[in-house]
Amino acid sequence: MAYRKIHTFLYKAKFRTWLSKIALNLFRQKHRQKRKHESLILEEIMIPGEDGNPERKIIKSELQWCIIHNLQHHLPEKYRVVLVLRDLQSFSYKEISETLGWSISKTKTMLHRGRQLFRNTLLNAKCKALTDDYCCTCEGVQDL
Amino acid sequence: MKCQKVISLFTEYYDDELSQKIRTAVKDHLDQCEECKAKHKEFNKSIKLLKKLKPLE
Repeated sequence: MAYRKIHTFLYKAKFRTWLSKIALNLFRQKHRQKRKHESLILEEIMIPGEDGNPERKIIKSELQWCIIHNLQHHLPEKYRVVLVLRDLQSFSYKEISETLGWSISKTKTMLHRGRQLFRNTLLNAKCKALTDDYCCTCEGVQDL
Repeated sequence: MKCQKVISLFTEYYDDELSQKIRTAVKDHLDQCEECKAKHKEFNKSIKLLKKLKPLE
């Protein structure tokens, strides 16, 4: 897709930003088609590094499920997208604003609201990784 | 700086996007206010959890 559209790249934005816009449009297009399943993020995100320890693997997968579930089902797309760009793809505020067509000020606001909402959903889900009284010292939890 | 203002700056504080003066004011508040300190800790933890997810190459 990017190859077919390369003639539309006008050097006004960074190549990465331009490419991300294409990816974002494809994501939205695909997401609209798959709305009933809402499995896109679940399929596209993973936690790397498994050491084969079954207990650790289970704890990791439970936490991973909790994080992804909250991201996927409890965050509106406008917040999910900005969290993915910033916290998973390490985009700068400027790159996010260019990709999404937002002002820097709106980018900051949306990122903050998204992060607050994400934190609240984890707390509401009683995510053990967030609670201070969780005293398990299992290696898997410490690392995650 | 009041609690509500400090909480509204958590994101920019985390991303190191604040001026030195405001950053110091936020830090001073967090050193003194246990409630904001706890909220800040949870906020940071949730971002760190999110960052542990890696997109497939």
